[in-house]
Amino acid sequence: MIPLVFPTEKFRWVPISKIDQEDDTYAFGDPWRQSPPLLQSIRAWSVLHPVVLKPVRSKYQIISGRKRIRTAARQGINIRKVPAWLVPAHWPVTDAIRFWLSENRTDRELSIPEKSRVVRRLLDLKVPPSSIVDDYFPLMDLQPSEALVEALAGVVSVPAPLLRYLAEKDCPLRRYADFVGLDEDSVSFLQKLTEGLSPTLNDLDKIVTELLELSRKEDVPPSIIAESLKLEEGLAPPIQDAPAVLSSLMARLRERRYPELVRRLKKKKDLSRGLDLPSGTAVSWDPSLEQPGIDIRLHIQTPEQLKRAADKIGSDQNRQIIEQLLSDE
Amino acid sequence: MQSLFPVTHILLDESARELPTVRHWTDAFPHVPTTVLGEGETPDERLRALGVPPNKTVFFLTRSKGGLVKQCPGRTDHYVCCGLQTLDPSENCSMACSYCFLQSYLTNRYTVVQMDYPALTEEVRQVVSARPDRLFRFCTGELSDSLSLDPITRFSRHIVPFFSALPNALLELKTKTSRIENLRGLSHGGRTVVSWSLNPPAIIQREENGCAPLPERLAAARDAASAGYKTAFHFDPLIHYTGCHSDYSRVLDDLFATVPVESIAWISLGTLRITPFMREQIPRVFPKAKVTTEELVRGYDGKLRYLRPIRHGLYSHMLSEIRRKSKGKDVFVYLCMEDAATWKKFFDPAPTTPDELDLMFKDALLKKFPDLK
Repeated sequence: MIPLVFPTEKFRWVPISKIDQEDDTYAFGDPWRQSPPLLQSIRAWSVLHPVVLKPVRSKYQIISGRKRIRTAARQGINIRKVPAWLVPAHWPVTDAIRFWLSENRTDRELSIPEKSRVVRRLLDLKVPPSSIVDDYFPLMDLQPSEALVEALAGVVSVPAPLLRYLAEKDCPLRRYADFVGLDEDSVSFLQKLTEGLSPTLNDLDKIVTELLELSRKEDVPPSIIAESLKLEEGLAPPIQDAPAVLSSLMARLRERRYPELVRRLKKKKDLSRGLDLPSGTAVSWDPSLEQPGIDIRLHIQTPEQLKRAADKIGSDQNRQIIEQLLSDE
Repeated sequence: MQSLFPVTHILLDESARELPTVRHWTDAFPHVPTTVLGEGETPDERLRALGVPPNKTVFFLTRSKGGLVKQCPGRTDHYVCCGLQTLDPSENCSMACSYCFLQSYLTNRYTVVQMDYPALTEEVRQVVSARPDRLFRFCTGELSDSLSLDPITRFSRHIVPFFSALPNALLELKTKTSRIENLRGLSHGGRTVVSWSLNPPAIIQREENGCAPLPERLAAARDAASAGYKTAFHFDPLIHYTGCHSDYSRVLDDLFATVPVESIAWISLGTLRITPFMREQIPRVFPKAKVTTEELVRGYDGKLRYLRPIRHGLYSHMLSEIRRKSKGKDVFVYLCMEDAATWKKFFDPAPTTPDELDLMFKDALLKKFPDLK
């Protein structure tokens, strides 16, 4: 890794009005990250730690300190100028990104969406993946693998409301890709779902995967599938029994996604209810239906018990039902 | 017509540099950057240094270090395997089928091509000479398509005549291309089977990217049969969807109308199976693919398959249609990667072990093709 030299020459008090807050060249931080103590501190003491700015035309780009500037600029906080280190206009963007990474990793671990924004920007700047791995990955605590460059670049394609949920749930990198390809209406539905039911990452992943698979199978947007299954039903607050709502929603989705499996399992369950078996007998079958047949399990202790059980299991009624169960294989 | 495969970079193993087969590549691609790898240097290291992304348009020409003859990787304890031997002169495929197991099987992203043809045939010779009682079947289409690179490698010109002289082995060249030009005029001795994987046109168009359309495959099969080659067909994977039964019937109509039944050494049937990793990967890599959208359950080997009743429905349909359309003429059909219970449902006698199936295969082939004795 090439050593980074911070090229600042000047310290200034810069008017907030001269700072271009809309410029997103270095906007890698998660926008949802809140810091109430920062607001209190700025209210009480103003901005103490200098921000880092770069002059671009008649304004200043923010390299570091975006949150401090945003907070200072909030209504009701009477701050007009912030302390700033100014870097030369010619300082390369790629070096400034490395600086941003060094600056931000000191007090916290960067989230996957933040790392993703950095990688996406570097790729836009035509930085080769091998250089991203060598020069930037160590600053993001990532393993040196070019496959990760591709995976990270894809993360920011996940719609923003889900991105926040996934980051907060510590979603592993490889699973972000499961959430790409949703239309706007589906995202809005999923946002309601996450806010109302707070599903686990696994449950959310299952719902999204099945929605997308059904959408591809039926050649319609995922939101149409969600609508046709009336998945939004029960998501209106206040939700009394979130686990029950979630489980009913997933059952509807599963029935649509696996109609044959669900039908056959239900048939087996219904048929097996008619079996008249000795008490303590357990009946089960492979839920994937891959293993043909049914399991009838009974604990026998004496020869008399065996005879009674065999007679009962082999009754005409049971035989008929078992034959029906097997003929459905 | 299929276009020839793209080549963006050639990596040449120092140990293979002097082999005459390397010239096939350097002559065919004079403007493609070629890098010679020194001893101990790996393709990945060099590609990284060159800033070349490793993908299958990068070809690594190397010399075999042995171990290229193997048991078919599909062989597991749970399924009745046909006992095929694989021979891998290349690894990775220039085409891109959405359901292809190579996506989760190969560790190299570039394409590896073995340049030392005599070393490959020597490996085969050693295997077959150890068991003169067996009729071996070797297939070069396991880790690659047998003929997709053949216009450049011309491997068929070496391997087909070699097999013609082996008393107890057959060569299977399995392909989804129509590239049989090099097979013409070769002395094959009836010991090479050229086989095609078949699917309905809609599946070929959506799932088998870069492969020859069905009519081209069948026309190539007809031409191969005219040149005296035995042919074979793989309905593998059979893909389930609404209307699939009638679509597969039409493919069988086309097959039996185009290719003489007398040339058909076997037809295999196998329904779709993918790993859980592929199930995640396929929608990302092939957004139009629909193979993951059907109901799939995990089988004994950890792979995802259709529900048993759906698989049985497909097999039952295909078997009755093959029998009907071949008009009772002898066509050996086998199932790929199915369990003994499924075999028993459709075949009598049914093999229960790979050895039994291997023997059934041998008997059927010798009965239909006495020239193999």
